[in-house]
Amino acid sequence: MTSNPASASFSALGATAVVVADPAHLGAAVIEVERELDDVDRTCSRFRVDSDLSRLNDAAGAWTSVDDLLVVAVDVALRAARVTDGLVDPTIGETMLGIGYDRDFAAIVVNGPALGSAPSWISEPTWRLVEIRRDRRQIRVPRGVRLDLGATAKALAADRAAVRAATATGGGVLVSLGGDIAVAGASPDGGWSVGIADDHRASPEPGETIAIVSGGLATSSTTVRRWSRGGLPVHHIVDPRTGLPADEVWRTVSVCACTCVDANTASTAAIVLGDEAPAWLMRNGLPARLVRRDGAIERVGGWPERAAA
Amino acid sequence: LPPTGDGGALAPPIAPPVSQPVPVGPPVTSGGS
Repeated sequence: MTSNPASASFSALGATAVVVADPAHLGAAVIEVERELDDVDRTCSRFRVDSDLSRLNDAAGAWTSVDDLLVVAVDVALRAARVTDGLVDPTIGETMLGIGYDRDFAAIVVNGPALGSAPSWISEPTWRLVEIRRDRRQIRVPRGVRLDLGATAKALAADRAAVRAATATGGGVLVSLGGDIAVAGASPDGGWSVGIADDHRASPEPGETIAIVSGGLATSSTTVRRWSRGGLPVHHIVDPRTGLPADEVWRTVSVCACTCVDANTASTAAIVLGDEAPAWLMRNGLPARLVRRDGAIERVGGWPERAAA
Repeated sequence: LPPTGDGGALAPPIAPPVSQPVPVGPPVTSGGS
């Protein structure tokens, strides 16, 4: 792996995709990443009426034959629910509709009616009721429940795309999907540089660039994908225990893990956990950087201190 | 290519991240999306 990788970016899965690789491998890596992201979009998007996920959500409780990739994606989403005791819950699809996130974010109604003090879309945790017949590639979702794989599918896509591109090219590859990052293969000398910010479209904060050599890095933030209902701000990270956007103890949480899926699962859970998040992250041995609403930063689990200027 | 194990817990990275005073390579930012 050269120390001077090159990059290419394009739109995918409602986000900006960035591929970084040795210049000699970049073109081939991009092709592999695009193929993987097309596969994920075709099977796992809740905004495409022809996706396997939409067919499953519309099946009214019936067993539904789906693509292998959706079986994997639902497996991953249910594992995320298990390891977080339901803090990251793929069965909040109806809740997402209830708070107004009912279409691709670019087309969302920015100002809508108030949510109400006792939202009727709250339901008991239902992720344990999702069933998979792996040998038949069939899934059943309880009637009235809609899966939303938003918390894990993009991270899974990054993990799979990075492995696929690295395998195809024989070189190291970094894939970023809207700031959720996976790396595979040999890393550049000194590791892959990644800056940290509230918004992946922004420049990194001074001194807050880190290097990783394997696995994944994800950031969840309540500062993006915001809209309003009844004049009050709403964001996209829902606390499954209340059915409402999570309290904003942390505006942004970044986590490093063995995969982008685990990193994103942990960063999402940390936003939902609020004040309990630092201890939970440390118990899981996960390096993390948490930013309070006022900008105060906490680093846990081996996340490095800010670099000196 | 299932990259995640079926483990019952979230897994940390093989090596922890390190601070990098001078970024190397193309700019990549991890942030909310």
